[in-house]
Amino acid sequence: MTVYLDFNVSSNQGEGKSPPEEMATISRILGFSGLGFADFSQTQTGNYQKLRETLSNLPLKAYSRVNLNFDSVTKNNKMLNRVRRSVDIVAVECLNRRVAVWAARNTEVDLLHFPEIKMYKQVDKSLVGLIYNSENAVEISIRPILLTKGLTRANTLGILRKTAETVLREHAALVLTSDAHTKFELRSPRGLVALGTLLEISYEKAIEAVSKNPLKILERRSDSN
Amino acid sequence: MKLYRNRYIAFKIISESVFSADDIVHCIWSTLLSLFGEVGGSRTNFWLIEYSETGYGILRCTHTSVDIMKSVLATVIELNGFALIMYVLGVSGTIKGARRFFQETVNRNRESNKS
Repeated sequence: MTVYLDFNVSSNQGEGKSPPEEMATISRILGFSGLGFADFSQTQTGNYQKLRETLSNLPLKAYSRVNLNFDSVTKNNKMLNRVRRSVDIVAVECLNRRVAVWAARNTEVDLLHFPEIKMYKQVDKSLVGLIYNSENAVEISIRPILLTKGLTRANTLGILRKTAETVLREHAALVLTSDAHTKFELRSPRGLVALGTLLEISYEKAIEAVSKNPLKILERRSDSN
Repeated sequence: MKLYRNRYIAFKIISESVFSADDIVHCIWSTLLSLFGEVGGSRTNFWLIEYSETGYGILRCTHTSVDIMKSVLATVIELNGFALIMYVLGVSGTIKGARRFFQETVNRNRESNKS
């Protein structure tokens, strides 16, 4: 049976609005086997264990995720060294080109995340080449597609489509996530795949983006630990 | 020979409110038109076959527009001011086959509640 993972959700323990129990219950109904909670980004490193205990009783597997969101490589590096051993997934918010290149080269980073649509324009052939070499993945979150309409959505779809095309043409890994902040922003795995097809990602690659590629990230982490 | 064959998509709605069939049809059409335009929408042959206020429904589309309708359902985020999730239970070539997905979902939920 295929295992589906959504590597980016935020509950009310972090930036989100819904309790983790409700998000996990709905995700399980929708067909996910695990969720990556980005709440660890808003938590002090000393409180990770407490948050982990809160998430341990959920009806599906909860993975800890931290988003490194400094605009300087030095600060990101410092934070990465501090959190790498404590969390399952480390994503870097590529706020500028220098940070994006550093993250793409760094084998300790799992995902390159772009918090705003215009930041996806940094994804080009050279960046994806670095990502491919260090076996990281580019994360495309479908939340901007859901929250925009009309011309804004058309622009969003265009930028995300170009990003997906660049990543897949260079054979780098792509991960699709919901970036849900409430339980109603969650989507089923097939829903994420369907939204991936809006970006002209083939069905097989979209399935990989919600199952095989996230699993590879977890396996890589468990091998290195 | 038929130019197109129909497919029946069984779907379920998760929401804190209850919606009527008219609401659902209006919502799907407006999202379909927004994403794919009038020409794209006309090619889907979309029709709401069944819908109950428990949130289960079946819609019809052509065999070539299944992916389009799935992406439309995934894009719907709110209706009448209430947030909702519309997700696909399964796709079948017959209405009877689509209805089986409802029973499978009910059985699966019962088993997971027991465990």
